[in-house]
Amino acid sequence: MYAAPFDYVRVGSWADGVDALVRHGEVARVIAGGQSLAPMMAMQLVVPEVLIDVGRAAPREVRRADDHVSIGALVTHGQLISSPVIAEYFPVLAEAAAVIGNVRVRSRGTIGGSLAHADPSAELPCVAVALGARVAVVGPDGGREIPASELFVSHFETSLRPGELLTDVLVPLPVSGTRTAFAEFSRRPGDYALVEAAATLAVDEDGAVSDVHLVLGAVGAVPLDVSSFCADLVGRVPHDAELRQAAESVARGAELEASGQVSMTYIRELVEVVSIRALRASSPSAMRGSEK
Amino acid sequence: MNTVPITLRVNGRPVAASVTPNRPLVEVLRDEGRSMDVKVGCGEGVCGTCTVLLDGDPINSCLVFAVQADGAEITTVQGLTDPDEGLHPLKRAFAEHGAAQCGFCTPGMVLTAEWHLRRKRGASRDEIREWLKGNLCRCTGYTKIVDAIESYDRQMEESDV
Repeated sequence: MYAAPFDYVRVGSWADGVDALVRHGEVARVIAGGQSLAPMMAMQLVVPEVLIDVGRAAPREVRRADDHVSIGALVTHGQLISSPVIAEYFPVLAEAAAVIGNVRVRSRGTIGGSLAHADPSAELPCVAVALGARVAVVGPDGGREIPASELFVSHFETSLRPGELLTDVLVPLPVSGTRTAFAEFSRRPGDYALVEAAATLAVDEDGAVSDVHLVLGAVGAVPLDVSSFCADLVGRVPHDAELRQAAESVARGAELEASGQVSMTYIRELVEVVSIRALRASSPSAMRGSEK
Repeated sequence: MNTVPITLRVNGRPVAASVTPNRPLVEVLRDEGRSMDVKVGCGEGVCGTCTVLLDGDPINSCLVFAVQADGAEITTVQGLTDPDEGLHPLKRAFAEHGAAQCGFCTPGMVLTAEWHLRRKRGASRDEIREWLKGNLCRCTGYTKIVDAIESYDRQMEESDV
């Protein structure tokens, strides 16, 4: 359990990070919290010749801006849990962060690292897509923003171009009457999730659903937007029976990737469970039917 | 691969070292830092044996390269003391409840529990078990560890009154 030798470069800014990445090219990897990368290096699954440490490249800040909350890429999962801004606007991020690994992982692991690493079983990519978040990126050709739904390309693969670094996560403020909730299932505490679901429900003044998003995690190479299966909810008051129907139709109809650990039948059963839990928790009346 | 000079403070004591970048913090704490109370377990961040506090927060010291920790304040279990009692009362509770058998997981358990207890009091046994996610024990079956933590929490409650 020991990382192979490498050269170490610590950068003090994102711009320096980009320069270092461009200079060293393909043999370099970027480390922030290291909670995904360091174990892989210890097991020598990943053997970078150069490690670029961006852990001190920018302040770890959560900021309320005009129409969004800006979360610095280096904000840790622990900080998401304790941030009053997150608690006020996006408690779902704190809830999802709270089930990441364990307290030690959460002290170091960062939101930028989690999104850039694009592990299909990670919690934050699924929630980021459900929240309609964008990521701010800097690279040799300048800065740009990428919607979370376009960031994840495949297992451990993002649409970041060579030399690009993810600097901030921008989450648009929810429209009044909107709530996002997250649910996951794993066999043991701290295990990677077998299935995840993030649901966003918006209701109008009459209590009828005006918009619904449901995103599944861990059941595909990237977060899976299955909102179309919930289309029947729109325009109706979300009673538990309707939510259960939506969850059932997702579980039955969505195209899922088998994990190899467990059967597809079991995965579909779990998808129905986490979907109904997420939908219930995102519905304003917090309808609780019989627990499934 | 060059060596990089780093300085740490370990339980308030400065430690200077010149490290190859691939050396994990846990190794430098034990070797140059002479902190044998920090144990090596799995080396891949799943067992919690190597837990120390870095700038006040619990980390897996096997998952941080020492170079990343340059300038950090490290607290190991020996750094957890009580100004009046000497032996930290949580450690006394561990001893009194038989919460340590081989003792290998104990530093990680104590540091993790103490960090949580400073933030939340009156936690249920289920919550305490949640706190200890990722701190593996092969000997005790965890019950007495939870007993010790619960009893220290209650003890603090009584002295608060």
